[in-house]
Amino acid sequence: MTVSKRAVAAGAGAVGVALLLARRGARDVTSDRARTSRTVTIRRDAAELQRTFTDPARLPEFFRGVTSVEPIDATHQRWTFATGKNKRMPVDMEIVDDTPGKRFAWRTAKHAPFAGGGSLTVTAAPGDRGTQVRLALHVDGTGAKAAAAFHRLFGASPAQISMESLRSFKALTEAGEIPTAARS
Amino acid sequence: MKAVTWQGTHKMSVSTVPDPQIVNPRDAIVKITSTAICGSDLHFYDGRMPGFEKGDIVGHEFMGEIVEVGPSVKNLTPGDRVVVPFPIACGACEPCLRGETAACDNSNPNAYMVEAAYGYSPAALYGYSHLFGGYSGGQAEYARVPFADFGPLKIESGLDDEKVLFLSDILPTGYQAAENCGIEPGDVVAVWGCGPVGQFAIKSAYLLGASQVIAFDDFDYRRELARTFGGALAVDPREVDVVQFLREQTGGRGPDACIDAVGMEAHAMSAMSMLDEVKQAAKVEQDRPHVLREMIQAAGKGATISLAGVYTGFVDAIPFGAAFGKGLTFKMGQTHVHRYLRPLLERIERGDLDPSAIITHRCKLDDAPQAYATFQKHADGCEKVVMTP
Repeated sequence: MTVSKRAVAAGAGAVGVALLLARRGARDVTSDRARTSRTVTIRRDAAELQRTFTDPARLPEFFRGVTSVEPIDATHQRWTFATGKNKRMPVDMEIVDDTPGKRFAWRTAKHAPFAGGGSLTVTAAPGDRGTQVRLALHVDGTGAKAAAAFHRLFGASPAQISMESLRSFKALTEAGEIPTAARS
Repeated sequence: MKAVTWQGTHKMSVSTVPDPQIVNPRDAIVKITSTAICGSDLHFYDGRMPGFEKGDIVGHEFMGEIVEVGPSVKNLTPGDRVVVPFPIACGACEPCLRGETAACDNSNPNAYMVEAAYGYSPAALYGYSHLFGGYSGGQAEYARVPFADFGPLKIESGLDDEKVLFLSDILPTGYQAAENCGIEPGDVVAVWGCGPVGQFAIKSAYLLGASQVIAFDDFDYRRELARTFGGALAVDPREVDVVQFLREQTGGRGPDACIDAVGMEAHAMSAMSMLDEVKQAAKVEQDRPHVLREMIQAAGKGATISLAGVYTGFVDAIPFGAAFGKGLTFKMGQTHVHRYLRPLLERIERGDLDPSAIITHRCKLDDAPQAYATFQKHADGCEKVVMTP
């Protein structure tokens, strides 16, 4: 009997934690779109970081799910996403802001398979700590439905994609490589 | 190659696995010449460390010879003898630049797992759970060493492996525990636990100016080593009231600093400790903080509590009112091994200490399963095991 009470207590604790996490996740979904932002600090110059992020050859190295970026014209690029095993989905993006050392923003062009966009904002961290880098992503649509569609396509939430992409971006620009425990 | 692998609680085996290869530009491959079993290896051996998978290659105290380097590694060449620090650190992020390499931002590919529990991820570790990166460890014939242009310490003085191997973890860990005490002349330092880290904490406390070190351990052979190697007043905590004993030994003031070299798996004959065991088994408390509670009680006013023993999760019934009332300072964490490598190597070269004095058992990698069992059971006076391939 005592053991089962403990088990119930443990279960209740786990549920409490799950609820807290779910609540935290819920803030990423508003009524009209799934959107998120994550921020890291990188010990590199803001302009240099923005140059690396906007380099079509570099972006697929750190941006989760993007396999290639091809420039179309001065304000348009074609991003190809991996959406499953051997499945690729090209999406044309319009560059809506490219202010060096401040902000880079894009959104899906007309006729894209989904509607959404994102931005990278770079600001100096206080006290010579490098640059605060904020990556924001959003998918237009109706709340949870848009989030679910996004998850089906990319196998992860916008929050996961932005955090893991930022983490890789930081490792690449600071340490020069993305960590892996692979042995070969 | 041969490697020691985790197969489950109290199940270690020696497996044949593929040799590691260079993966990233800053990698090196080390042919291991000596490796040790650490007290913290007992956490996964006892099934207390989450994030292990069957077949994981373990071990984080190792040294050897460089056999191959990645294109970005310019400071090492094949043939160099190196000691490898157990935290994996990039050397370029804010924590690394502050010298806090055990908090490296960039080495843990599984950072998201730890962030869920800790808020932020510390550095990755060799052979120590997928939570901390899932990197293969050094109880093997070869190891892949990431960020090799920053981490490994070259040994050029011809010192034997046994004299320098413990720079990889336990010597800096004991030293950091003592350094964190901010020892002033005349200070009395109390150390809980006379395992390898406790021994080096005792030795380091004296090197840093302590007037007396009082140490506690249940085992005769460990207390004996604390006397002969460390010069401590070593006491069996089952034979005294620890708090009262320390008060008497310090003229009623209490120790100026207390070092926990035990951590999450403390044993004691008290109602609270038995309750900890029950709660740990029921998974409602991860760690058994008997030592932490006793240190807070015993510490003098304004003293420092320094934790070197590992804690992983939640602890209950910490007498925080006592800590607040006496104005205690808490210092803790994994060891920033990199910053201690060179200064401690110099101390070894000068003869300030001989780390090999704590080795009681030597064996081959093939004997690892037996060596783990002996070490875990405190059998045969086993203080420290060193293995060679």
